[in-house]
Amino acid sequence: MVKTISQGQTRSSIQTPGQDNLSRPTSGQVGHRGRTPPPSGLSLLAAVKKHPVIAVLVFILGVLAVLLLLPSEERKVKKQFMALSNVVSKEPGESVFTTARKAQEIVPLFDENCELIMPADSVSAYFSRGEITSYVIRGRTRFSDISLRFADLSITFPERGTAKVVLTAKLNGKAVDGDRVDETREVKSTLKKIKRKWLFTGFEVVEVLKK
Amino acid sequence: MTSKNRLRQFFFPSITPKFLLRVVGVALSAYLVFTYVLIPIHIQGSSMEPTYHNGGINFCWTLGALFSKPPRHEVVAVRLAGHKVMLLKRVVALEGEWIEFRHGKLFVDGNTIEEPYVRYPCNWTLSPRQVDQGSVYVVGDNRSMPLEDHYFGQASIKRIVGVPLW
Repeated sequence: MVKTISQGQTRSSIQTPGQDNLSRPTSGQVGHRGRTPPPSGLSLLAAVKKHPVIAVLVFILGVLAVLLLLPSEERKVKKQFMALSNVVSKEPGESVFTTARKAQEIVPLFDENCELIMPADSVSAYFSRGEITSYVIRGRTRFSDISLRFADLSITFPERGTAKVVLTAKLNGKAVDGDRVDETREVKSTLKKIKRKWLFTGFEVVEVLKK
Repeated sequence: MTSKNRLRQFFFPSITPKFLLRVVGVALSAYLVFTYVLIPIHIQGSSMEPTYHNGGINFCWTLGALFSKPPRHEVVAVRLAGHKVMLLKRVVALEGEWIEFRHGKLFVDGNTIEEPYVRYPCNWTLSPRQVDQGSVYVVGDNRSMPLEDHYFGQASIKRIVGVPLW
């Protein structure tokens, strides 16, 4: 028995004598193979309509990927703090080459002049790049290991090319004479975008606990 | 349902919309509780020894400081730039009071204050100063180091996040 199926209809399950029930097209029958595939745009739309949850998930993942991978100004500013943390931190047994490399890496993080304000110690002055570098190097040599970490960064851009950051700075370490250092302070920092790079222009230690 | 089936259903539940909704509800509740009400804290440093040890674990109970000002001798968490790193100190003087240290002894408004939680010897001397309105004076329990090396002072009550759970 032969049945002709026109386009749009499903293949019949009527068997011809001697054949099994598998839906194989026989002579005279027109199955799915005879149809022309719909345009790819339409098939995507059809897929979205068929699986809306998966489509929404894929869209959300795509947006997240774009947000996470594209470098934003906020991320660039955070990167500068990570770089500062890296150049100041020191592990026990640090080699001379690492020390020299870190000393070179300090300079490009700061602007020509950087303001430092520490009300508790009555310090309010501008320091040049060279002075900052020498203070950092001298400070690092006084410690066998030191760690500078930043947390709770809150970044705002009050005007174009200026970033103001309020953060918590934690300095932990062991001096060469054995004394331990454990300081935690709230710090306000200012950065300016100069030649497409965010450079530190000021630090102010906030007096949270006034003696 | 037999107990074996119940056990299997408990450890390997069917992924139904109801189950997914429960998971989302539990995750959201946990996030809200442990971010805003019971903040897990890891104690670093020795300024509150021997009351709280370096490396200790605790929770900061934020509702403890929400409705009332902290009383004297209360241990509080003081916020810095955010909630990830906070200071753990004890309130020793309240707003408007005069605080002073004489050879390690605490005086408030000229009166000696007993501090049974201070176990290590202390020889601090700090001239009298008045605590501002809206502030409390906080100090750590470990006063064995020189006064200059200990981070203490008056903090705004607005910066007090909560109290340790134990």
